[in-house]
Amino acid sequence: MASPSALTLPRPLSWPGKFLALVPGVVLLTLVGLAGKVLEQSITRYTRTHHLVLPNIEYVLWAIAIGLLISNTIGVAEIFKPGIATYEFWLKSGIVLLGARFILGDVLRLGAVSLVLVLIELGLSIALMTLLGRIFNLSPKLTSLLAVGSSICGVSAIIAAKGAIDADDEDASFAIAAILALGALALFTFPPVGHALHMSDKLYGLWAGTGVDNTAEAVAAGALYSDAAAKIAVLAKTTRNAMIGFVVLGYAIYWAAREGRAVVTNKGTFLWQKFPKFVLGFLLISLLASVSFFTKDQISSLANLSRWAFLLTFAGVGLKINFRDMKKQGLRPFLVGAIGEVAISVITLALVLGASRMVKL
Amino acid sequence: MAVDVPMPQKTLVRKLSLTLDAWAVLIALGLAALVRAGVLKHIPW
Repeated sequence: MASPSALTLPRPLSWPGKFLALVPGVVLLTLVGLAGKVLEQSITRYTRTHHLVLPNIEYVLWAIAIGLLISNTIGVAEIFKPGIATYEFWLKSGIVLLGARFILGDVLRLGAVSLVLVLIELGLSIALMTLLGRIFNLSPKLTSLLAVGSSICGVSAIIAAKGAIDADDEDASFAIAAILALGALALFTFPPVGHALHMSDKLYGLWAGTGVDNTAEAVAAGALYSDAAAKIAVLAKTTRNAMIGFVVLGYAIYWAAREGRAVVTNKGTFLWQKFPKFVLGFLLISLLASVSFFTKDQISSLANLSRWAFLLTFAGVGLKINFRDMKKQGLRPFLVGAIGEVAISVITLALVLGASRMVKL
Repeated sequence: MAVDVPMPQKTLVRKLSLTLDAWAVLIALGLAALVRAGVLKHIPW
């Protein structure tokens, strides 16, 4: 007879237990981020004292590269994984704190430009991904997930849409892997293209915010260009994230009608549930900064806190990229994603350059 | 042979379950309040 103790379910972790489980991973994020910062400073100091002219490699790239190296060589032990997963928390906290560097008027003006670009990008991305999914004979739900992920905000949008359209776990993991792999590629392709085209910080930031899917990668792609570009990338990406509820609702209604399920009854509640609340935090801090609630020194402290939060995010971006896992997911979804992403990047680049001729940015 | 496995007790305590977004906003606003109150000063970078 099996002993009763063998059938006892594992107890869920208590609050202190859950908190302690995060510590090793958060410590690793901090160490990787700090190593990136120290490397950048040491190389800059060395080149200055030895009068060498070398391209400055930002801490962002070092942190991502160190994380990537760890993840793809020695691997990340289980004990670190819960803490590493907090990188999204640091990202969102960092975005809220970054609100202090924006005057609400700028947010509304640039936000309005971003909104127009985002709406065009949304329509084109969804149409393009749907078409590619059909050409490559992907399952319709995987196509919907890829379209949502590439048009709005990567992984969060896929997770939100998965529940809303009742997609399989396998389809969701395919779509997430493809979006993450392509986000990683964007980190290495967007900055050189921006430099080659001599794009201003504002234009490049707008492009990174509208063209790169996952929020962490969009901020990192901006920060790899310049601090000012990262700021604009965050604003454009936040505008895009705010659309998540509408797009997921549209897909939920479409799939419910197609499968004869009950359609979403309370659309207002659905939209509120899917709305990224950190956007409201960002706007609130920006409003407070605009009415001089904070002194200049305090704004500088808030901006630095936001930089520290992003440092942990960038370390997490590197640590979660695992090429072996990505290879396991298969080629077709990746190919559809890749073709779509290249097209979306070119379209958003054209949109941003076109907008800069029509509106003073 | 049937084994009598005790069912998990229903908890009567309402759990404090905030989303990741809500936590991020709360912590960031808390930090901003500490900076405003002068508890956190001159954060270096």
